[in-house]
Amino acid sequence: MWQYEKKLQYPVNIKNPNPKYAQIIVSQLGGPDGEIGASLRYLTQRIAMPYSQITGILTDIGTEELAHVEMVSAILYQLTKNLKVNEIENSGFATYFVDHTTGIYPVAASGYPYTAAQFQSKGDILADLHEDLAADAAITQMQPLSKNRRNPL
Amino acid sequence: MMNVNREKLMKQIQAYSFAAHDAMLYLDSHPTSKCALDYYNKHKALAMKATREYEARFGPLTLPFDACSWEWTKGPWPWQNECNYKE
Repeated sequence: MWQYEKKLQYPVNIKNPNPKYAQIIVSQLGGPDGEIGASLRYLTQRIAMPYSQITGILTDIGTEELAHVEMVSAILYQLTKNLKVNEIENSGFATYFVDHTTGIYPVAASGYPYTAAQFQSKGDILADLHEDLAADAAITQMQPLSKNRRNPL
Repeated sequence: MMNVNREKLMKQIQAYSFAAHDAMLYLDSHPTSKCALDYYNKHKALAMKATREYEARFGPLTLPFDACSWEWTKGPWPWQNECNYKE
Protein backbone atom coordinates (compact mmCIF):
# COMPACT_ATOMS: atom_id res chain seq x y z
CA MET A 1 0.00 0.00 0.00
CA TRP A 2 1.26 3.46 -0.79
CA GLN A 3 0.06 6.88 0.13
CA TYR A 4 0.60 9.79 -2.21
CA GLU A 5 2.19 13.02 -1.02
CA LYS A 6 1.19 15.95 -3.16
CA LYS A 7 4.68 17.38 -3.49
CA LEU A 8 7.88 16.86 -5.45
CA GLN A 9 10.84 15.47 -3.56
CA TYR A 10 12.88 18.42 -4.85
CA PRO A 11 11.58 21.55 -6.60
CA VAL A 12 11.48 21.66 -10.41
CA ASN A 13 10.95 25.07 -11.96
CA ILE A 14 12.19 25.41 -15.51
CA LYS A 15 12.03 28.87 -17.04
CA ASN A 16 12.98 28.06 -20.62
CA PRO A 17 11.30 25.13 -22.36
CA ASN A 18 13.71 23.12 -24.51
CA PRO A 19 12.41 20.13 -26.51
CA LYS A 20 15.93 19.00 -27.38
CA TYR A 21 16.75 18.56 -23.70
CA ALA A 22 13.43 16.77 -23.22
CA GLN A 23 14.37 14.22 -25.84
CA ILE A 24 17.55 13.43 -23.91
CA ILE A 25 16.11 13.56 -20.41
CA VAL A 26 13.20 11.26 -21.28
CA SER A 27 15.72 8.40 -21.07
CA GLN A 28 15.93 9.02 -17.33
CA LEU A 29 12.24 8.09 -17.21
CA GLY A 30 11.94 5.14 -19.59
CA GLY A 31 15.49 4.28 -20.58
CA PRO A 32 17.67 1.34 -19.47
CA ASP A 33 18.96 3.31 -16.44
CA GLY A 34 15.72 5.21 -15.92
CA GLU A 35 13.64 5.73 -12.80
CA ILE A 36 10.80 3.38 -13.72
CA GLY A 37 13.22 0.49 -14.11
CA ALA A 38 14.95 1.50 -10.87
CA SER A 39 11.69 1.56 -8.96
CA LEU A 40 10.44 -1.76 -10.31
CA ARG A 41 13.84 -3.37 -9.72
CA TYR A 42 13.81 -2.63 -5.99
CA LEU A 43 10.09 -3.09 -5.43
CA THR A 44 10.06 -6.53 -7.07
CA GLN A 45 13.36 -7.76 -5.59
CA ARG A 46 12.33 -6.84 -2.05
CA ILE A 47 9.53 -9.42 -1.94
CA ALA A 48 11.84 -12.44 -2.05
CA MET A 49 14.58 -10.85 0.05
CA PRO A 50 15.31 -13.12 3.03
CA TYR A 51 16.68 -10.41 5.36
CA SER A 52 14.23 -8.00 6.89
CA GLN A 53 16.70 -5.13 6.97
CA ILE A 54 17.38 -5.44 3.23
CA THR A 55 13.65 -5.76 2.51
CA GLY A 56 13.21 -2.47 4.37
CA ILE A 57 15.98 -0.72 2.47
CA LEU A 58 14.66 -1.93 -0.90
CA THR A 59 11.15 -0.81 0.07
CA ASP A 60 12.34 2.68 0.96
CA ILE A 61 14.62 3.03 -2.06
CA GLY A 62 12.00 1.64 -4.48
CA THR A 63 9.49 4.08 -3.06
CA GLU A 64 11.93 6.97 -3.43
CA GLU A 65 12.47 6.01 -7.08
CA LEU A 66 8.76 6.58 -7.63
CA ALA A 67 9.30 10.14 -6.41
CA HIS A 68 12.10 10.39 -8.97
CA VAL A 69 9.71 9.22 -11.69
CA GLU A 70 7.50 12.15 -10.73
CA MET A 71 10.38 14.66 -10.74
CA VAL A 72 11.67 13.57 -14.14
CA SER A 73 8.10 13.74 -15.44
CA ALA A 74 7.86 17.30 -14.07
CA ILE A 75 11.09 18.21 -15.88
CA LEU A 76 9.74 16.79 -19.16
CA TYR A 77 6.39 18.53 -18.69
CA GLN A 78 8.03 21.90 -18.10
CA LEU A 79 10.62 21.49 -20.88
CA THR A 80 7.86 20.92 -23.45
CA LYS A 81 5.40 23.63 -22.42
CA ASN A 82 4.11 26.17 -24.96
CA LEU A 83 6.28 24.98 -27.83
CA LYS A 84 6.01 26.50 -31.29
CA VAL A 85 5.75 24.28 -34.36
CA ASN A 86 9.20 25.24 -35.63
CA GLU A 87 10.76 24.51 -32.23
CA ILE A 88 9.35 20.99 -32.38
CA GLU A 89 10.44 20.46 -35.98
CA ASN A 90 13.98 21.81 -35.52
CA SER A 91 14.82 20.16 -32.22
CA GLY A 92 14.51 16.49 -33.03
CA PHE A 93 11.54 16.27 -30.68
CA ALA A 94 9.18 15.73 -33.63
CA THR A 95 9.67 11.95 -33.63
CA TYR A 96 8.39 11.79 -30.04
CA PHE A 97 5.73 14.41 -30.64
CA VAL A 98 4.12 12.54 -33.55
CA ASP A 99 3.05 9.68 -31.23
CA HIS A 100 2.77 11.30 -27.81
CA THR A 101 2.48 15.07 -28.42
CA THR A 102 3.58 16.52 -25.06
CA GLY A 103 2.18 13.64 -23.02
CA ILE A 104 4.68 11.95 -20.74
CA TYR A 105 5.49 8.51 -22.13
CA PRO A 106 8.40 6.35 -20.91
CA VAL A 107 10.89 5.77 -23.70
CA ALA A 108 14.66 5.70 -23.97
CA ALA A 109 16.42 8.54 -25.79
CA SER A 110 16.50 6.25 -28.83
CA GLY A 111 12.68 6.14 -28.78
CA TYR A 112 12.57 2.52 -27.60
CA PRO A 113 9.67 2.12 -25.13
CA TYR A 114 10.32 1.26 -21.50
CA THR A 115 10.82 -2.48 -21.04
CA ALA A 116 11.27 -4.61 -17.92
CA ALA A 117 13.81 -6.58 -19.99
CA GLN A 118 16.30 -4.00 -18.71
CA PHE A 119 16.43 -5.34 -15.16
CA GLN A 120 16.38 -8.62 -13.30
CA SER A 121 14.71 -9.95 -10.18
CA LYS A 122 16.23 -13.34 -9.46
CA GLY A 123 15.00 -14.32 -6.01
CA ASP A 124 18.62 -14.76 -4.99
CA ILE A 125 20.12 -12.31 -2.54
CA LEU A 126 23.59 -12.13 -4.09
CA ALA A 127 22.37 -11.97 -7.68
CA ASP A 128 19.85 -9.25 -6.85
CA LEU A 129 22.18 -7.11 -4.75
CA HIS A 130 24.87 -7.29 -7.42
CA GLU A 131 22.26 -6.30 -9.97
CA ASP A 132 21.48 -3.29 -7.78
CA LEU A 133 25.16 -2.37 -7.54
CA ALA A 134 25.49 -2.57 -11.33
CA ALA A 135 22.44 -0.36 -11.75
CA ASP A 136 23.85 2.16 -9.29
CA ALA A 137 27.20 2.18 -11.09
CA ALA A 138 25.38 2.84 -14.36
CA ILE A 139 23.95 6.09 -13.09
CA THR A 140 27.17 7.29 -11.47
CA GLN A 141 29.28 6.52 -14.53
CA MET A 142 31.54 9.14 -15.99
CA GLN A 143 30.73 9.86 -19.60
CA PRO A 144 33.22 8.00 -21.85
CA LEU A 145 34.02 11.23 -23.72
CA SER A 146 35.14 12.99 -20.59
CA LYS A 147 38.80 13.21 -19.72
CA ASN A 148 37.74 12.30 -16.19
CA ARG A 149 36.21 8.96 -17.07
CA ARG A 150 36.47 6.29 -14.45
CA ASN A 151 39.85 4.57 -14.35
CA PRO A 152 40.26 0.81 -14.23
CA LEU A 153 40.21 -0.37 -10.62
CA MET B 1 4.20 34.58 8.48
CA MET B 2 1.26 36.29 6.77
CA ASN B 3 3.10 36.89 3.51
CA VAL B 4 4.61 33.43 3.18
CA ASN B 5 3.95 32.20 -0.31
CA ARG B 6 3.14 28.75 -1.54
CA GLU B 7 6.45 27.92 -3.21
CA LYS B 8 8.56 29.16 -0.30
CA LEU B 9 6.63 27.11 2.22
CA MET B 10 6.74 24.13 -0.13
CA LYS B 11 10.51 24.53 -0.45
CA GLN B 12 10.80 24.45 3.34
CA ILE B 13 8.79 21.23 3.52
CA GLN B 14 10.91 19.76 0.74
CA ALA B 15 14.17 20.67 2.50
CA TYR B 16 13.12 19.24 5.90
CA SER B 17 11.60 16.16 4.29
CA PHE B 18 14.71 15.56 2.21
CA ALA B 19 16.90 15.71 5.33
CA ALA B 20 14.59 13.35 7.25
CA HIS B 21 14.42 11.02 4.26
CA ASP B 22 18.19 10.80 3.94
CA ALA B 23 18.50 10.05 7.65
CA MET B 24 15.81 7.39 7.23
CA LEU B 25 17.85 5.62 4.56
CA TYR B 26 20.94 5.78 6.79
CA LEU B 27 18.96 4.40 9.74
CA ASP B 28 17.79 1.46 7.63
CA SER B 29 21.37 0.20 7.67
CA HIS B 30 22.50 1.85 10.95
CA PRO B 31 19.42 1.43 13.18
CA THR B 32 21.26 1.98 16.47
CA SER B 33 22.87 5.31 15.59
CA LYS B 34 21.67 7.73 18.26
CA CYS B 35 22.98 10.67 16.28
CA ALA B 36 21.03 9.62 13.16
CA LEU B 37 17.88 9.02 15.23
CA ASP B 38 18.12 12.52 16.70
CA TYR B 39 18.72 14.02 13.27
CA TYR B 40 15.76 12.09 11.85
CA ASN B 41 13.39 13.07 14.66
CA LYS B 42 14.39 16.71 14.50
CA HIS B 43 13.88 17.06 10.76
CA LYS B 44 10.75 14.92 10.67
CA ALA B 45 9.18 17.22 13.27
CA LEU B 46 10.19 20.32 11.31
CA ALA B 47 8.78 18.79 8.12
CA MET B 48 5.51 17.97 9.85
CA LYS B 49 5.22 21.45 11.33
CA ALA B 50 5.79 23.09 7.93
CA THR B 51 3.37 20.63 6.33
CA ARG B 52 0.61 21.50 8.82
CA GLU B 53 1.15 25.18 8.12
CA TYR B 54 1.04 24.63 4.36
CA GLU B 55 -2.08 22.48 4.57
CA ALA B 56 -3.91 25.08 6.65
CA ARG B 57 -3.30 27.66 3.91
CA PHE B 58 -3.22 25.78 0.64
CA GLY B 59 -4.99 22.43 1.10
CA PRO B 60 -3.97 18.88 1.90
CA LEU B 61 -0.67 17.25 0.86
CA THR B 62 -1.84 13.82 1.98
CA LEU B 63 -5.36 12.50 2.41
CA PRO B 64 -6.98 14.49 5.23
CA PHE B 65 -7.95 12.93 8.56
CA ASP B 66 -11.04 14.99 9.09
CA ALA B 67 -12.39 16.60 5.95
CA CYS B 68 -15.34 18.98 6.04
CA SER B 69 -14.92 19.72 2.33
CA TRP B 70 -13.03 17.82 -0.36
CA GLU B 71 -9.95 19.84 -1.43
CA TRP B 72 -7.78 16.86 -2.39
CA THR B 73 -8.24 17.00 -6.16
CA LYS B 74 -7.72 20.77 -6.44
CA GLY B 75 -4.57 22.00 -8.21
CA PRO B 76 -1.99 23.15 -8.69
CA TRP B 77 -0.24 19.79 -8.88
CA PRO B 78 3.39 19.27 -7.88
CA TRP B 79 4.79 19.25 -11.42
CA GLN B 80 3.28 22.64 -12.25
CA ASN B 81 5.52 25.70 -11.94
CA GLU B 82 3.20 27.39 -9.41
CA CYS B 83 4.13 24.78 -6.79
CA ASN B 84 7.86 25.13 -7.25
CA TYR B 85 10.34 27.55 -5.77
CA LYS B 86 11.77 30.24 -8.04
CA GLU B 87 15.25 31.65 -7.42
